[in-house]
Amino acid sequence: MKKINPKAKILVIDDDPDFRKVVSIMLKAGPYHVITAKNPQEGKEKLFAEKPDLILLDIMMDSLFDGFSLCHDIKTSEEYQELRETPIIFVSAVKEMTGSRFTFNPSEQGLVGPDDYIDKPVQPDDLFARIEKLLKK
Amino acid sequence: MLRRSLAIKLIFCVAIILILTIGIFAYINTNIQRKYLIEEMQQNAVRLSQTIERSIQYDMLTARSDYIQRRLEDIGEQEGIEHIRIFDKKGKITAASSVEEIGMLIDKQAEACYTCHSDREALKRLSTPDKTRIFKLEKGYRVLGVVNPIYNEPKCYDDACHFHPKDQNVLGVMDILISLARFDKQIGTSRKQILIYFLFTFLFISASISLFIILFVNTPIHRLIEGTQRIAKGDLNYRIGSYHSDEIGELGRSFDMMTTELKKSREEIEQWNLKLKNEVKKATEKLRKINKELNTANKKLQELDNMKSDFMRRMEHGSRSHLAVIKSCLSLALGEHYSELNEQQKDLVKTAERRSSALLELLDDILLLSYRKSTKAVYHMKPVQVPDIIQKVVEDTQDQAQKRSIMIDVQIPLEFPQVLADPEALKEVFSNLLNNAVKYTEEHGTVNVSVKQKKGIIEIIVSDTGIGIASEDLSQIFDEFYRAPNAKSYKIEGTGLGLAIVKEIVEAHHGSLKVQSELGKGSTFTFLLPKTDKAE
Repeated sequence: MKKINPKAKILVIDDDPDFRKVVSIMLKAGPYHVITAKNPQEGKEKLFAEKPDLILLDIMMDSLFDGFSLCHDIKTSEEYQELRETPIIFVSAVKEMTGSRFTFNPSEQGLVGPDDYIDKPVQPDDLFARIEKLLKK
Repeated sequence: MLRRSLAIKLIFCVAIILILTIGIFAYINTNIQRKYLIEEMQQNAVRLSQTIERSIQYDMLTARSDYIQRRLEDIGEQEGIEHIRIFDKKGKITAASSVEEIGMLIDKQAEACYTCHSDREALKRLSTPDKTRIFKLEKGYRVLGVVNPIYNEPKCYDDACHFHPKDQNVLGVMDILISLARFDKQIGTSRKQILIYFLFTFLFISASISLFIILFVNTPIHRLIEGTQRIAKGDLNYRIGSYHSDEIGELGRSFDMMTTELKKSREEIEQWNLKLKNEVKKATEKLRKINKELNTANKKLQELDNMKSDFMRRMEHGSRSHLAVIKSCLSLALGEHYSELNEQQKDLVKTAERRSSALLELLDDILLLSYRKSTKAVYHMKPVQVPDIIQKVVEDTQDQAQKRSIMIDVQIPLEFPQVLADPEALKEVFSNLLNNAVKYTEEHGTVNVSVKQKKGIIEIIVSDTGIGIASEDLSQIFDEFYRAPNAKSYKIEGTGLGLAIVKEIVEAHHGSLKVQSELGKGSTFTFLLPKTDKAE
């Protein structure tokens, strides 16, 4: 909590309005600058408009794996060339341990994964530590 | 090859037998015949000698020597008569068929005289065979000689001439030589004829034997040989066919019977083979069908499994999304506005927070158990250091233990072998066992964790001084959602799924889990893990 970078702009892309609200409260308490988007499309627009320092990306939104696709596009597509270095943290309501998350294996499909994972519900301390670690890079 | 050797052997044997029998027979026969003929000739010669003597007797009595001489010459011209001569006691030839011999002396030692004059005293009477002799002339052919003594008679010494004294027994000797050339020639011809006859007989018998062997032995045996060769090559349709009414014919018949039986058994075997093949084919077809059905069933199961996974994922996503928001809301509320709440509100919010945590834990356990029990459960087996994993779990549990002043005593040997296991799964096992131990132990209690290696197995013991498990509950503690009544009565929260998950993982590692417990004194869980160095 003490080493928070207040200038950091964080984009939260999640289809759950309540989660966006809760995470926003948490991050603002950080304090971080928070922008939210309710789907990949809006996320893409905000991404280009705001050029955030970090993205919290939900895996399952409109479809099962649209978080993966967006992540892959940002990391590889020409379109996102200037934003490619933006760190991405996956926020998922599906735990890694259950194994079900990887029924769709990103690396097996030739997709590029995120910089970090975090399970819902998020603990503020854990979230901040991961964000700071990536921002320092 | 057999034809030649068998026939030749038999002909050779027959030849020896024929040569011996016919040869000996011919020899004896010829000899007997010759002896008989010689005897006949001897008698004839003696008779001839006597006839000549009688014919010239009158001339001798009348001492008309020129008459005698002429008669001898006449007779000597006869075919077969070599010579005739008459000599006196002194050996002087007085008359002969050859005039030039007259007056010649014949020595007593000469072979013609020897018969009578071998001893000092001359023999006076001679038997017929003794009168004759056979010898070979210098001319090259054999002759039969007849010596006929001319005895004294009253007329000889009574006559007026008184030429011969009375006491003289033998007056002279008439010697006739008869040629045996014709006789010997006849004998030779006869021998030749016998030889030719023998040869013809021999040839005829040999030919007959050969024919016999070829017809009755060789041909059937050849057919038998061909039969055995053909059968050896697998042609069971070959038959000898024609049989002679002899032993070889019997052999052929037996051979054909044998072949027929052989063919029959082979056909039976082939039928069995075919039957077996058909059975195998049928069975294979059945198996293929079953396999197909199994494949379809498996596919269906996989589809169901996928559906289940998908369902679980959506369920997890949905539940956790709600829970995440609820928990975050509660913790945020508790953090920021806690002091503004009254006691009842504080309690309600705390209860809500606690129960949402329990719900999250239950959700996690259900999902974990469902995954471990599903066909998709993957164990990434690799060499692991069991003490390291235990150490990590103990560290994670330390906070929880310290809150209730429970001491975790860990005994781990310095050196420990690596074991093939899934580290994540092992961590789940230890963390469940250790969490349980801490959870069910009262404040200021002790939890002991130790690792030992024994022959072929690794033993991990987690024991506590907790509330223990009643013996009647021991058999059920691994059942899903089962919670011992005393655990509930102590108001210790739990999902009832922890040990079920542990059981799944232990079984997947071919290990075993033993529990010893006494109500109120504590429990000891012993996890035995086989020390395999091969990947599962």
